[in-house]
Amino acid sequence: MNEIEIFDRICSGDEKALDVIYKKYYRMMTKMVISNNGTEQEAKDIYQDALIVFWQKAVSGNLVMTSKMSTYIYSICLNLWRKELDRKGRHSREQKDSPDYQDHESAERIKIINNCVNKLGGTCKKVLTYFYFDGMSMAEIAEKLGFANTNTAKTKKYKCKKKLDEIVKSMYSESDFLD
Amino acid sequence: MNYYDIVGAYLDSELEGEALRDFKTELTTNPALNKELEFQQQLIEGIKENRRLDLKTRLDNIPVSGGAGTITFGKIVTGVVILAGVGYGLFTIFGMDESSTQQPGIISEVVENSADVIQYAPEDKIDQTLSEEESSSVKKETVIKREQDTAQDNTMEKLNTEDIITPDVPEPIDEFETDKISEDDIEVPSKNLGIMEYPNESNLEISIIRNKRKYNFHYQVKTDQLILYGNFDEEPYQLLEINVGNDKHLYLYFKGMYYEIDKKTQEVAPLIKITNRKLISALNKLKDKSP
Repeated sequence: MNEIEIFDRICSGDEKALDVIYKKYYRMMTKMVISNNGTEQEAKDIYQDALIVFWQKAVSGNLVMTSKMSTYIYSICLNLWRKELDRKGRHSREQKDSPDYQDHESAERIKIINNCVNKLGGTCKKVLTYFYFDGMSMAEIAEKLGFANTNTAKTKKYKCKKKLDEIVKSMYSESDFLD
Repeated sequence: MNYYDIVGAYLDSELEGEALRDFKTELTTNPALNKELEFQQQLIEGIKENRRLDLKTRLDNIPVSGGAGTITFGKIVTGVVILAGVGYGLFTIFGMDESSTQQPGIISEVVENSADVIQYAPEDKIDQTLSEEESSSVKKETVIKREQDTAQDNTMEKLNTEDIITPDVPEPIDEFETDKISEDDIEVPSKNLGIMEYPNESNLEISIIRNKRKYNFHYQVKTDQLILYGNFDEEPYQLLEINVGNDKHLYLYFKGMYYEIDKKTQEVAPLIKITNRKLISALNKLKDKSP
């Protein structure tokens, strides 16, 4: 299987193709982080995050490959690692008595919603993640999930999001969650 | 009042024209609308996070051989094992005979070989090195084993390195048969290196979209992302940032011209050439200072 085939499979949302390139480039990408003061775990995290960014762009159809896949992924790894180093630098300069509560609270809320997403049915979860994460159009979602047409997909998405909204609000009181 | 639908439409980019303008105006004065917007934004972030975690879990479950750190450790371990094995072999061959003049020489040679394996393996062919290294260690272990056996039989004179039979080690399976990639092959795009070189400049992630009929020399700024529409991969380009008071102005340098990137606009906008000579002069100075 050559690179073009792999890339096409990724663009069509084939996760097995993602597995193939993950293994293929693992050593190459993690080496960059490790040789720039990163730990093995940090290298793995950065590489995984980079691949997920790559996946998201490829599946959404917003990526036109003008270089090798490895080049593109490598450049994402570089940027992510630079950002992480910046973040670490900022963190070390921050005073211990002034934590960023707002960011922390926001991250906590996102975690809560993440848990609620897992309470949705499989189809609902797919519709919402295809739309909001993978950036697929309603027509693509309809085709991928075997819906009759685009309108069916749109209605399903509306209902699923509404359902998620209800789950979150039923499990967490408004004052706890929203204020 | 229930703002669920209108906020949902806004976040899904379904509002246009007057409806969009009215919504944005309402946002500036309506705290309840803001609250619903914040909540739905977090819903979407939660959905995205869920997918990210799913993908990360999937990747975590894929067995991979160790990274570069492990390679180094593996090499060290291999070297130590070889050294210990050779030392033991020599001990069994020569016993405690200190009068032997060959022993130090042989040990010294083996140590040097081990050091070669540890330190001087070509970095640009990690995969190949590993497979060679594995093969090499198998060969060396075979030598040691034979040396031990030979010593026990007291037939040291008969041992000749040419007699060593090395096992066939299968080549590592490569999913990309036509795609042998080494780090030398990596050509990191200048756009990304540019961002790496100027850590204080824009943190925008850049994407290029070609072959759009409607947008052929345009840009769009989304959250942490700059999208360039057009053939921007034909020639190198550069992003420059200038501080004006408390504001940071972003400029694109492409084919000898400068273009302003308005970070506040979120819609696709045409790239308009800068004609202000003072500004061009300042940008030229900034660009010349760039490494």
